[in-house]
Amino acid sequence: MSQEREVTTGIVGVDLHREARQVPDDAPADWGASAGLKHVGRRAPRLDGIEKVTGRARYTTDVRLPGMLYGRVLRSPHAHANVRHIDPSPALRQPGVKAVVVLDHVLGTATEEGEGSGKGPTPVPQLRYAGQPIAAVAATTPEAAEAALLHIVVDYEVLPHAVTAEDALREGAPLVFRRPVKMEASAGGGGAGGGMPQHGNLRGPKRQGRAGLEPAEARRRVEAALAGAHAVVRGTYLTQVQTHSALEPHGLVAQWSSKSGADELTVWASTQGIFSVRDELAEVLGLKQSQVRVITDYCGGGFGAKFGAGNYGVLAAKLARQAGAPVRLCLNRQEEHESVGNRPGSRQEVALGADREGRLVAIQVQGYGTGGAGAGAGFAGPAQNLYRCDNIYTEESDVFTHTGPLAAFRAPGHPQGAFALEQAMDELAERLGIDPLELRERNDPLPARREERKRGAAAIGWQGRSPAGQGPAEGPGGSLRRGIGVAQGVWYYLINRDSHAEVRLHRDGSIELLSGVQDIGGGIRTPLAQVVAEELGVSPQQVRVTLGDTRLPPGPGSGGSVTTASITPAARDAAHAALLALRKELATVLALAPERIVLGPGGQIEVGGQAMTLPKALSRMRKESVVGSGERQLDYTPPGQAPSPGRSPGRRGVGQLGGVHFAQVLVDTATGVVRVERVVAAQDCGRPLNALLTESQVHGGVIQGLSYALFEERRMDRRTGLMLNANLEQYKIAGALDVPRIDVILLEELRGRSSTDAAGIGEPSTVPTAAAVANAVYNAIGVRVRELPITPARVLAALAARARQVTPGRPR
Amino acid sequence: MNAFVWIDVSSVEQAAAELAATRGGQSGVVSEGGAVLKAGGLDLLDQMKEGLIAPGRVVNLRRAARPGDVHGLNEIREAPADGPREACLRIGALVTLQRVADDPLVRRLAPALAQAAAGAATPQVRQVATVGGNLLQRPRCWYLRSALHPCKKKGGGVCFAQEGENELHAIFDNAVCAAVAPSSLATALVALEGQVVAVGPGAAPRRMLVSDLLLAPSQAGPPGSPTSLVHDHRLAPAEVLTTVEVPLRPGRRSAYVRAKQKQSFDWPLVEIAVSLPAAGAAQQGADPKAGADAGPRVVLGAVAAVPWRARDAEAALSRLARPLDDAAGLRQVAEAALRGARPLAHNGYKLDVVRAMVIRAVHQALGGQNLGGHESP
Repeated sequence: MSQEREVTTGIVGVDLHREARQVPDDAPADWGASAGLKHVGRRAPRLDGIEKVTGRARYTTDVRLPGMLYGRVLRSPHAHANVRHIDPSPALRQPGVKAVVVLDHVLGTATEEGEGSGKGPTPVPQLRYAGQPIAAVAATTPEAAEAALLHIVVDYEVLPHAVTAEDALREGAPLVFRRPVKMEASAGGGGAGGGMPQHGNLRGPKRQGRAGLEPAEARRRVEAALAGAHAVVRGTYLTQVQTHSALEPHGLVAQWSSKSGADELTVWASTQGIFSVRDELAEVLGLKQSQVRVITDYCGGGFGAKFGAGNYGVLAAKLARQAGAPVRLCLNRQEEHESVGNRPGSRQEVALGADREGRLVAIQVQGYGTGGAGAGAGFAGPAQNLYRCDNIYTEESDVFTHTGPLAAFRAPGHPQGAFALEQAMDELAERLGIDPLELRERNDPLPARREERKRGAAAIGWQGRSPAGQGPAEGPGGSLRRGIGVAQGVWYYLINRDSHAEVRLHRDGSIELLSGVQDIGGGIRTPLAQVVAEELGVSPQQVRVTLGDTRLPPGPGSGGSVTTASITPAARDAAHAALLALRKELATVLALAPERIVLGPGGQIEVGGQAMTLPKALSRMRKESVVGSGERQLDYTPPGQAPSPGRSPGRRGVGQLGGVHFAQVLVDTATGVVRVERVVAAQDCGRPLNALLTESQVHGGVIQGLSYALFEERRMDRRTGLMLNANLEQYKIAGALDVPRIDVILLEELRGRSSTDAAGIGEPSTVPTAAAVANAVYNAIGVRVRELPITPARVLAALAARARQVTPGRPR
Repeated sequence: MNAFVWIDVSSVEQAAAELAATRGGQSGVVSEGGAVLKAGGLDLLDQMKEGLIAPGRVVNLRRAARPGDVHGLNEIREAPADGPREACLRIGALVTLQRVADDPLVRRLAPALAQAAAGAATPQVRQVATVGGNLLQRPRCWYLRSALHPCKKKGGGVCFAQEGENELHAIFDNAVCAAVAPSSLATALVALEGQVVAVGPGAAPRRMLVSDLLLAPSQAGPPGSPTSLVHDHRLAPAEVLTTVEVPLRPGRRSAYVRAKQKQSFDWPLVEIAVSLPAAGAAQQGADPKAGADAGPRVVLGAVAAVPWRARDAEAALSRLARPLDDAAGLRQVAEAALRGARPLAHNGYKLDVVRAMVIRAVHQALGGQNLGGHESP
């Protein structure tokens, strides 16, 4: 049953006020602003920091079991081929080899209707990208396994390939798929339903009007609005393929055992979702969910690409069963780059129209994404959701290529979409002769972003910004130009209701929190301990947190930035429930009416008018322990409004998250080299539970975003269809000297949605960065680079193109 | 990676003998099962992990740097003139890049070399990578580094870079193979007229100018010859590079600058090393040992398979009386540096970068400031 309560809402320091919400009867009290709290909101260092820096933290790649074998995967050396015949048996006769498995079904790519039935000439599916797994070997050493791969006899029928969108769109291009496809979404989002038109390698378009409008009608209105607009900007934007490049590779260790005659599979996995790994293994191997146990103590990053068991996981489990021994299968860096996901590239044509007052009258984005052998490479999120506009129309298609398939990647589609839309907004502001921030002020309905613009502008010194290309020339030969740019992001408030926690209070005063959520590197253990500590009136160090095991109460997969918003209310509710259980136990022991025992805020306990500490209260129990359970409730809602059902990640949530980034760059106009000197990142994530860890997440988002803006790109050779930079040397990622000063401005925005009112930060923090850098580059040099990454070659080409325009006929 | 036998040697001579005992060697081309010399091991490990080479024996030179090592493998010192040999700075082959960057002698006597070492790779790499290994590493061309691309430099029939992804490739002498020389030290050493000392089995040490050590594609010998395209340098398979020598020329000024896309862990897009004789030295023949070639040197890196001497730029520079006050003259020097350039489809931007960096290198050499763009020193 629920009751109506007043809760604190608004942005702290701006419009904090009280509002009514329907709240479950047994829900803990409203916390108010974090300034009044002891632990929540504080800059608490990671509780597992010492374990991590001393190397004691056990990652999946650290797991070593007695008798463990090493798995290696045979992968396609061709971008496109059929396997006419495969004979794995010679590999089995190699020294040290204990098992060989041929893969009969490939996960992670789009699938054709009726595909995967194994009806082809061999059990091996069509090879659609170089690096596609074919078979695997388990042996007593990694070297023996590697060597044995050469003894799997494969007869390839090599077929022509197309690894770039241009090649794939050519008349008569080799087809990646012959029949219509669909693609399963992961817990990180993405996916593509069936029923889309598909011609050659082009699938789509998916047409969307503004909410509630027929696409065709929306398109008519957008075109009419553009025709009548006071100002129109149009531009084509290209973005590259970025690979996830998590520090820890994908991998797992699989071990079979037998419990009461039934098979059981235990795996240690580097994953963002232990339950999705469990479910995929159970499905593929024909086991019950309860027969599979997945453990993740620590995970060295996933960024969206580590959901489900993966081909390597299925192979490892099958190898382990065949060998009768545990098998470790961890990918190397080349496999990481080629075969386990990427952020798809895109080509976007953007048109924006505005009236005389700078109000948007039309937003149109059309184009395609290139997700290799995967579908769902869209980018329309920002165009559809960032600004208030009556006329919005987007068209997104997939272009299939013979390259590794996309996977969800930190705000799928959004950095691409923001790169195009936010540069177009910058251009529109200039066309209208108004400040870029003012243009956004007039079109952006989100209060959080308004505050972020205000605070961010003050921090970066927006007032002192020079007009585009007119800043002072510095450095050798006056070739250095400085610029400042701004861009906005949008993400969604998403939760996952499969979020359970259990709090145990023991008679000796010790406290445990158990939940099957996994820590993917963000450090969820610490805010969980803070939340429980706040509720119980103890210190976070006193809360022993156990995570990352499917034997624990189910936790959410860490995708869609749902983790903190989903699991921390469950943990607080569990702590509260444990206190209620303690009160009941004390009432029994002390023979008091339960109302005589009063639970106050911050774990205060009053027994018959006398304060009692928690350890004291616990010591009075007859039971050894009391246990409280919590699960993620529906969001609290204003009176009269039905509770909103929880949304699965990947769909629009019940509210937006913002984020405004300001970048300051220094461009060397003689060499084209761009350096980001400073980023101010203003973000909202509901109630930040731990400012230190939240800032760390934002640092990561900014660094990954600027690395995307300036450096990262998967390079394919058109002729051979192979990736050329499948390592961390030639695949360029920002290093220490490329990381600028980053100032994080965190709003505390309360909405009265749950008992912690937390929202996510992982994805929103990377959406606007590349666009902000691009706008800063424009501000520095007065010419726009509309293609990522912004390399020296592209900067020099843009400068040269402008020089030709300014002085026509001047030879270079 | 394949299994191999690890051999610690205690002297250069023993290393040479071990290398001679098996086919293969350090010249980039290692026959399967052959022996290969290891110093820091960085490039060697890369090549083995990529499956480019599968040596049967790895001869570890690092233990040869010990008391009594006559070659000074781990030493940096100033050697006085000795008969026909002029005074020089001697740097052992096992000296790490970080030491080269930090050493006061190198910084004073051969600033271009210290500057080249300073910004290379990463601090971690510089602590392990050696002078010898840096000079003899294989090019980083991504076609060469991919076992699945049978390129000409691996003995195959194609240079994939010609029609492929070539923005990091050569703009000079690139018609046969477009890989660029990877060694920043080599670029600086050519500008400084440096030479290497190598010891073969049972042979006296021989000296070779760094500018002669590395092989340009256009000079490649026929397939199967010791100077064929698959070789990067002229050392024999069992020769061990022991020392680098930089002649000391009083009053000479030198500088090295590089332009990198990333400031951490990246290879230069373009690098320039210049050395300028003491004022008047070239004109007046004040330094007879330097001979006819005593003018300024302008050497371009990451633009060709070898450090590229821009002789036209050198000539133009030698004509400038006061380069720092002559912006137009310096622009002509930079333009002259590009004579003979033939960019491929995607690396034409390197011309602009060369133009800018040549001027900065001269400024840095004469003004003493680091003008390598906005790179932190």
